[in-house]
Amino acid sequence: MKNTIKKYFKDKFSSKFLVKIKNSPSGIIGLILVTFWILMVIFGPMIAPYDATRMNLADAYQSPNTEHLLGTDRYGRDMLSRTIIGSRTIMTTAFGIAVISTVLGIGIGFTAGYFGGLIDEVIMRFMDILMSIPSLLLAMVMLGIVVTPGIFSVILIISIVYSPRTARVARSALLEYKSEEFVDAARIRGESFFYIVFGEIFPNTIAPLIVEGTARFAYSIMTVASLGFLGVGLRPPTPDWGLMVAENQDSIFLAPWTVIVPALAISSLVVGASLFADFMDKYLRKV
Amino acid sequence: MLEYIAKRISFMALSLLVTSLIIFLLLEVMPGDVVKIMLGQHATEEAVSSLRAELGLNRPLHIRYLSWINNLLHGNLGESMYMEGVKIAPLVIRRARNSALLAIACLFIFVPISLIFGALGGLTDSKIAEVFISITGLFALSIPSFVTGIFLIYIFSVALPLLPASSNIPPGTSIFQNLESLILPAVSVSLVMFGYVARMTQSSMEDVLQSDYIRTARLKGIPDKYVIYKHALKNALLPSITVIGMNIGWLFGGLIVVEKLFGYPGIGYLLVMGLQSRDIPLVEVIMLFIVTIYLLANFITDLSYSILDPRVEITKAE
Amino acid sequence: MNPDKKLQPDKSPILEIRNLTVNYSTLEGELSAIRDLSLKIYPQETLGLVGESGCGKSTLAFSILNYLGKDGYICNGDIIFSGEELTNKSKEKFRSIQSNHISMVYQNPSSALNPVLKVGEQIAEVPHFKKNASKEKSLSEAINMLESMNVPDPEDVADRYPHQLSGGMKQRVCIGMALLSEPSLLILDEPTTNLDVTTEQVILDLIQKLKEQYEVALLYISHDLGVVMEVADRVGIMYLGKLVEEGYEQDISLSPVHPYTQGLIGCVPEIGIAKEDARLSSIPGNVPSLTDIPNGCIFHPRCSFSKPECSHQVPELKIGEGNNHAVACLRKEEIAEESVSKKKLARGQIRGGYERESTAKQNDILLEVKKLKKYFKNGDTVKAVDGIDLDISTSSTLGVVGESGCGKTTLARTIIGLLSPTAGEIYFDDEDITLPWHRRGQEVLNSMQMVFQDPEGTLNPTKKVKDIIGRTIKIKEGISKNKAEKRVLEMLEKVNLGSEFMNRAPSQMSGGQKQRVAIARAFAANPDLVIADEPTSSLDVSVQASVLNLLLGLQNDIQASYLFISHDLNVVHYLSDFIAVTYLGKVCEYGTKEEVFSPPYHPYTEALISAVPVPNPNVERKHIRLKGTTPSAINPPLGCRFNTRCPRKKGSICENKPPPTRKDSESHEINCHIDLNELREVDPVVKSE
Repeated sequence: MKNTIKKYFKDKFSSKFLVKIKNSPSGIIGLILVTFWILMVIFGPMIAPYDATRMNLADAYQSPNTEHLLGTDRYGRDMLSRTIIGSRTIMTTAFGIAVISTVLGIGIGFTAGYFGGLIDEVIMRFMDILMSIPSLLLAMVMLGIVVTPGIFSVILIISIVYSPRTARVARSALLEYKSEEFVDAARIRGESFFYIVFGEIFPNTIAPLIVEGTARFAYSIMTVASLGFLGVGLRPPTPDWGLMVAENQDSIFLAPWTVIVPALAISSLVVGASLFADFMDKYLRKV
Repeated sequence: MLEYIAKRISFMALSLLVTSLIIFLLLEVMPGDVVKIMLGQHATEEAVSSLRAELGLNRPLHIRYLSWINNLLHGNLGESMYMEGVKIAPLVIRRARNSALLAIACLFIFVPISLIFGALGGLTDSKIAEVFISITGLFALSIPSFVTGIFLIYIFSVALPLLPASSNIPPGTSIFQNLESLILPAVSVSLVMFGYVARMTQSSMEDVLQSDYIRTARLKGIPDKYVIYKHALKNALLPSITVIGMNIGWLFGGLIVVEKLFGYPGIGYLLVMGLQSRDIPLVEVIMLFIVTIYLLANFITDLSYSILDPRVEITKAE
Repeated sequence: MNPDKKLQPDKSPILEIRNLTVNYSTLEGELSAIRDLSLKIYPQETLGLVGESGCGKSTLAFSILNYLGKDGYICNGDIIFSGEELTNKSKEKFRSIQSNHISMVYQNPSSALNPVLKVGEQIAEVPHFKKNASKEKSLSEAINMLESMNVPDPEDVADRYPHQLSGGMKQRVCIGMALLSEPSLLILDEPTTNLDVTTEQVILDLIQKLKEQYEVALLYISHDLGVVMEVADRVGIMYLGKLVEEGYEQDISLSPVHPYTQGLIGCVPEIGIAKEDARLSSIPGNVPSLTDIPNGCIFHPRCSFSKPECSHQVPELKIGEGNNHAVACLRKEEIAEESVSKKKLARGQIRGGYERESTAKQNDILLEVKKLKKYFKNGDTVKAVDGIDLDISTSSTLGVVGESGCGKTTLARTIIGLLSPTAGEIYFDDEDITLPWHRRGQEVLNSMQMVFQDPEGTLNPTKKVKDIIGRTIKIKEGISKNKAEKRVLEMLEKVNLGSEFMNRAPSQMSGGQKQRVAIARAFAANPDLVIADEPTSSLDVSVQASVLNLLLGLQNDIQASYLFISHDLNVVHYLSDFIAVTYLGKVCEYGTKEEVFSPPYHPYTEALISAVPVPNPNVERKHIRLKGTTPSAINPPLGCRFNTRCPRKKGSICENKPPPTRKDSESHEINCHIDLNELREVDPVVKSE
């Protein structure tokens, strides 16, 4: 199966990809925005002029100037550095959620889809029941009361909350191909269940799963930012963008940059991710 | 039809039962000792056990669960653990009414606007208009509601002081007497739904206009306006109903963050405060309440869809 | 069709197309779907247009209606309707002329009707908008039209939604709706393609009736030559955007001149000709894509008559002497002479069929199916297969024929083990294999393989040909991937595909090529029995012929048996040694192909044979029409399944008692209440020259 994935990526993401994306200005912008923040994640600590958590009350509430390009917040912390470093937590968390929730979804959805019948009924009914609690609500309560939030627990909790949705996508992708004639042909050759699911069906589902994965990434950013804002994400002094908005919410009149900067950061990342996910959807549908 | 309704209601009841169990387990079992959390690390043993007995927490789990359910079914929603002596029921009802206002604004003002926008976008030949609606929609649905709120506050309260930045209503007055404090929260909450609905309506209108049955209608000589209203519109709007249903969950999430941002006295803000103060009975009731409304909303959307789309056969007889 | 309808030179054409060129803007550039096409249709005459997929016939229809979509446009030429030039008119004027005088019936009646509006409402819109009739009057006109379309209970039908009606019913609605605007030209684009053959006959009868009743000219477009010959006065043959031959129906069918026309006619197996008599002629090569249109005569790369000048000189469609028979070929006179002298071979068939060993039952029985039942339970119980017995000997072909809903695909899938039987037994080579596929032994699996219907879904889109075929070989012979490559090349050769196909993906192949790979995949396991479930139904006629030839060749090669399933009676007759006719989950007649196609017939077989259009005007056919539709398999009639529609129904015994099996000969069985002697007296359905 590793070979299938490698081959698939080589196939689809070769020069064809670059050609296609040239035709989509929104796709390019999305890719640029996301790449920008990925670079921030990687090179952030080297670029950030100050320590993101260092307080210096004497410097509090400075509006943007030459020393602090984006100003400082109520504790005198440099906004630019906090924004750059904050990208690490939100990006890694969102990426982790996208991957783990998709993998969980594949496990649950493929099982339900392939075996059908009672197993399918029971699993999907249970997923439906889980989905009757709105995702933000469930994540918020779990992180607020149940668990002490560290980055792993945040990733795990939100992945579990998202898994019914990714399971549904994985299941319908599998069902789309399960009844195709080439799968029948594999059966009458006497192939094993494992080969049929992973050798025949799975390569065809990679496209919709990637689309789902990129969409999940975008949703994860929204959720992580919102949870940070609600104060149930990572705790201070971690420079979580959502948390930064919440912390400085009262200063919007006095020092608007302290909320506008993180708000813009969130917007740019989430819009970039959505544009890219949108493009992937259109691109992988056609090819 | 009745069979369908009965089936759905029984599934909703089952969902509620299971979710109540999940909520109970999450809030009363998993966090460990609730009493210790409430009283803090340094509480004495006696204080802990007396509070525990007072709260009935020394009973076995299943008894506590069943008595909780029993109370709920009898309309006894209990008392807040944090705010001494405050009954939960009237509090929740009052707050829910306020939140309902925001939800109604979203569903009955913004959704129709987005349907119109989307339909126009699909009907137009102008590529610019199409792309504009698509991109605006994408911005609207990606940016989290509280971020939209921040931008709106900045523009309309800080830069041009037009609207209040918070919804702190003076005590004694109701929200109806302070309608300006509704506007910014309502817009912030509704923008996400607007994004989804406008985009979906636009793309489904485009699809419908390419369909074979529209071709038949046009070639029959039916005037264009009539083709759009009678033939295209209904088909184009049906998928949007599904989208609305799918996004009601996000709507609830939006309510929570927006209410916190504006300090709007709704059920979302109440939940946030309840979580912060570890007010477990309150949080349980609010969660259950939101889940119930969510299930009902989904039921109504599904029902409307089946009534409007003749291809969905809910009656067995034929 | 009607020899009296000859050309009236004093009447001017109702539709004239002059030098029409239609282009599409695509990512690969500007493609010419129609090039320099001219034709005329006279009032009240029927012009049939025949061509395979991609020839541009639908584009032509939509050009006349000016509905080419965003990317299509008329590049050159004129469309003149009733003397008025349409092509230089504004969009609105064009539309107003068109909607008042030209109507269309589309290929897919399900998508042509609005799913959320009632059928009566949709029909009533025509008089409402055309004549400003009131809502009530429009609706009553709609109901009257339904009645004249022979729709039973028209008020009830008008009150229904499209998805509640059968395909044949929907098409009647569409035809009625088109006629209600009183057009002088009615365009029909493959109106019966998605319908069963018996339903198709009902629609064709209806079209004949309305030709007599209404004063309307018809442009009838189809890929099915037989159907067109039945309906049309004049016929035009299209290939790759050009008209290559045109003339009266009798002339085209009896003395076709253009090599493509001859090829088309020769591709279709006729009733009366079987595999032992002649091979099907197939047209070599593939239809070129629109990006690669050949120079000179567009057909020359595939033409057996081509000469050097054909590759750079474009032949014109010129009306020849007498009888208005026009042929676009540089060698048309020579070919016409040649054909006359070889009368039978002018129909394009190659002498010399397949040598077969004796088909008498002295061979061993390979597959035996006893009282097989397959029910599907989903609330209601669908009795798809309800007690079928059959057997297949080694090296022989059993054809199973029936219309939609008869259970033939379910039968195939149960025999091969994709479905578990509800009751009954299956024996293969004397071994009891009444088991689902995953419980059968590998040997059995290798010996029984299947070729499926849909070339689009039959190959895994993410795999290359060498892996698709190679996998079967790997499993069968347990050899490594590299050694298998050699064997894959051998298999490709057997199905007439070159080595360049090794690394191709399904998206890079045509339907016919994909089906060949699927056949190679099945045969790579060296099976004793191959079940073919409608393997050629989705393919063009010329491609079908080559695939059928391939199947026959392979059978000769490895002496496999076939269970060949199809709804196409011609194909089944051509290929099979034995035939089983199925209806609603049961076999109603069983015998050798000669026995089944001559009296005594089961009444359903009789009706089925009479419903198949024959593109030969010298052949007389009985006119048997079945009323109503096939009952549902959920509650099949007790007694004889066919009794609700049987034209020879005896009486209440047919409704109450299941029919006995009557043996006409050792191999021939008919399940009917009617006495065999009575059935033997019946005239044959088809009387050929």
